Amino acid sequence: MRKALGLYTAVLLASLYVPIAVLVAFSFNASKHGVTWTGFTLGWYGELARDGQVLNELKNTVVIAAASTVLATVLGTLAALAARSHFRGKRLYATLVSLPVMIPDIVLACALYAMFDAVRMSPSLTNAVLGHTTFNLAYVAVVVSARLQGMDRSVELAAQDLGASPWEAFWKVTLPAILPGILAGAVLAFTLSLDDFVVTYFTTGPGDATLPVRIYSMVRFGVTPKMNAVSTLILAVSLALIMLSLRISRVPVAGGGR
Amino acid sequence: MQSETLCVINHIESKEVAPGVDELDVALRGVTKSYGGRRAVDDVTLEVRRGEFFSLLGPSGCGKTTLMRLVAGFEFPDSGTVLLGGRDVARVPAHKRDVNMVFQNYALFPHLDVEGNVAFGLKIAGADDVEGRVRRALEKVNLAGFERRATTTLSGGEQQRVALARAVVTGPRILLLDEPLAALDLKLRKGLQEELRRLQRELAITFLFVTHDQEEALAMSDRVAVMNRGRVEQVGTPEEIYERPATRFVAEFVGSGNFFEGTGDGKVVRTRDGLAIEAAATGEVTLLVRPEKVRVNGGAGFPARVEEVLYQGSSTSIILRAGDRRILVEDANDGAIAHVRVGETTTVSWRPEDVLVLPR
Amino acid sequence: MKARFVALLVPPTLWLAIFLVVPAAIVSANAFTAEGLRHLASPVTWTLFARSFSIALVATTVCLAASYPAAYFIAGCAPRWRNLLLFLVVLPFWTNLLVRVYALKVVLPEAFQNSTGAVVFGLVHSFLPFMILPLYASIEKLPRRLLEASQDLGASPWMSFWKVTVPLTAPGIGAGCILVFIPAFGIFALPEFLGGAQAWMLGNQIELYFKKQQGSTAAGSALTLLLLGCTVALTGVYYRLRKTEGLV
Repeated sequence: MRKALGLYTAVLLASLYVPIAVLVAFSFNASKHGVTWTGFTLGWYGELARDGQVLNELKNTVVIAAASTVLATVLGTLAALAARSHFRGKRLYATLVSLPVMIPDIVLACALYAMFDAVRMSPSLTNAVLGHTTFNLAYVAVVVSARLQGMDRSVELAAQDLGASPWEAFWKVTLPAILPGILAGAVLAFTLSLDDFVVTYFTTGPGDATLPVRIYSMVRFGVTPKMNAVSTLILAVSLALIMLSLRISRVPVAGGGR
Repeated sequence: MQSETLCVINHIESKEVAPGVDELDVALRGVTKSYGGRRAVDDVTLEVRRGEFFSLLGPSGCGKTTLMRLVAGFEFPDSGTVLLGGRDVARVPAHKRDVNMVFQNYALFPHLDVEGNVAFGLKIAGADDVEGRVRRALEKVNLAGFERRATTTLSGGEQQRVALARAVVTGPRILLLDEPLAALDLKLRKGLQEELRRLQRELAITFLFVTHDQEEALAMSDRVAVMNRGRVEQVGTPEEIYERPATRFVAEFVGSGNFFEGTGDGKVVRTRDGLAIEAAATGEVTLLVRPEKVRVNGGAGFPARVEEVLYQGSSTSIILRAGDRRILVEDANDGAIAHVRVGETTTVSWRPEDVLVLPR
Repeated sequence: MKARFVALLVPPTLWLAIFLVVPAAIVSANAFTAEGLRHLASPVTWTLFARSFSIALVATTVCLAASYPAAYFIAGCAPRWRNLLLFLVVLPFWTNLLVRVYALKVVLPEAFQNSTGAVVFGLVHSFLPFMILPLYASIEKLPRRLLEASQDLGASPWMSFWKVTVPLTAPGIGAGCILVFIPAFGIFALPEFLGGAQAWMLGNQIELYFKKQQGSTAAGSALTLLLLGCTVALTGVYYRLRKTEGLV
């Protein structure tokens, strides 16, 4: 029975990766209509590098991701720290913070669109950054919260007992302890931002498209092999970031001396 | 002619080994079970009779739990046969065996209330009058009225009784109990021991009881099998096990004792440190004298110095030293107390017939 | 002490108030206009709603059926393998959804594409990690002793699965279903890629109203509010159900 289950799981996992593998393979395929393999080439990547529009979109993607990550990391960490105390309305607060994660992204995207439209802020990179920050905030808060929960609060008290002010205790004890969590949250936010399509689509205009938006329009208006290259690139970057995030979160919580 | 044919067919179908063998509810023949090269159960042959309260006694790791799981059907033996009521069940899975188990931490279903738990087996079997049978089972274990309670709100003793009710309500032939009293405190344990014994007699089910507590095994059982390292060292009534242990391990595990190793010439056994003990033994032997059989200050014996006197209410333990030896004496406080003081030198002696001879 | 707490609490709350609560209010305001209400009541909207709901429901159910055996298997593996398998399951989730959907488009046969079936398939494929993880967490917590007890009392392994395992992993099942249904309900790029005209969903329509200047902000807001309302209601139901005893 377990053998059957194991086989099934293997097949299921394979099916998760086969489409991606095919995509990656085709990005090196010399054939224009990717059904048959005609030869290995880096040509499509070369074209990509020369494509000014794509490079612009790459820049946009990174700018939005970087800016929103910085903002979201700060705000999310604050939110997680605030959530440690018990206060009236905490339940409401917790719901509010986790809301961006729970609702479908189109709801957030359209709501933001409606608001920007109402205050006469036309679609721009700024709008996108504001939007990305909103959902990234929630993810960072969750990650840092988990980290905080695993932390022993008595070390803060010990620091104060030894003469540190609450502020010093925070800087010298708490912050270093949760830093891996903060970094992990930041990497997560950056990755999500890079991959985001819906929120970006509704908050930006034609000139400030990002790579995911580009993919969307490319599929809509006709597939070219360059797409496979773009997709593979995005995939590679995401993967690299995940590995980085995992590496960071391996670090232990409380200092024990290494 | 027809009925005889049916009879024969019945016999063949139930794979009876021999007539009269279904007097034995459980029969294990040469059963071995290994895990990764280690023999948890090593060539065990055992028989449990109908209606017996039978205990498997031994230290942890001796194989008693594995043996029980083999009977329950959660494991299959590597070799040997397992017979339940005369039927070979070697490859029959657990849910098809007429054996029910009371698990060590009760394994009650958290998503069902007490009634749901107790009725579980009945519902699977499609029995009728489920409600009535559950009620009677709960009454039997002194939990009348507990039907709607959630299992998480029960105390340890109550949970254990629900587990018991759940296991007996379907009327199995054999009940397995895996150290059911281990998690309870002393007073509770003693009370439940009596209850279990009474229950077993009332229900007339065969109980196979696993424990590492020798006092418990002696108090409750009709017969006991003492196990060590996957093997059965001795099977017998509690009295036999205690008074006539077959091996040193049994003698040491069940009760306490004073052991003397020496060489005998048929009349006297001499130890390395110069003691001469009257015993009809030849060759290299170990002698055992139970602490309650040792007399202090009673008469001719050998000298020993009193080290400790521990008053324990119904008895007094006296620890003496003779040379390098510690002598343990259990004295019942029944009026004729040996009054000795710590530091005193006195004599210890015993009757020759109280000396047990064990193989080396 | 108090001041410090306030310093922590205010910035994120303020941000969320501006960029979450206010937009929601604006959407509601847009929706509760004459035009918005007209769209809300129109049969077109409700057809879309029904279609999106059923597609999401079917996708969730299929995803559950497909995920449970895998989650069960992984939960029964040795810790070393478990971590590896879980990592492999989660990895695709961290990659771009659009890319994954596009990859499906590349790989799926032409004949199958542009259909509701393809959309369901795409949804199941994309959201498997969301279903497997909570299922795994729940199954892993199940004490094996309970299954032994169940079999000891006469239930076959199959019966034990339905009478013990499934009820006790209900919290995980619930969590997984919510995590899949909600995004599936509001998805729009995927049905456009894989479903074409056949599987036009609520999300597609919303996009049309907002971005294409065909229709209006009021209409789009109305539909968005509908979607939001539904999501909140479902999440509420889920949290209410979680009060019951069980694992996870």
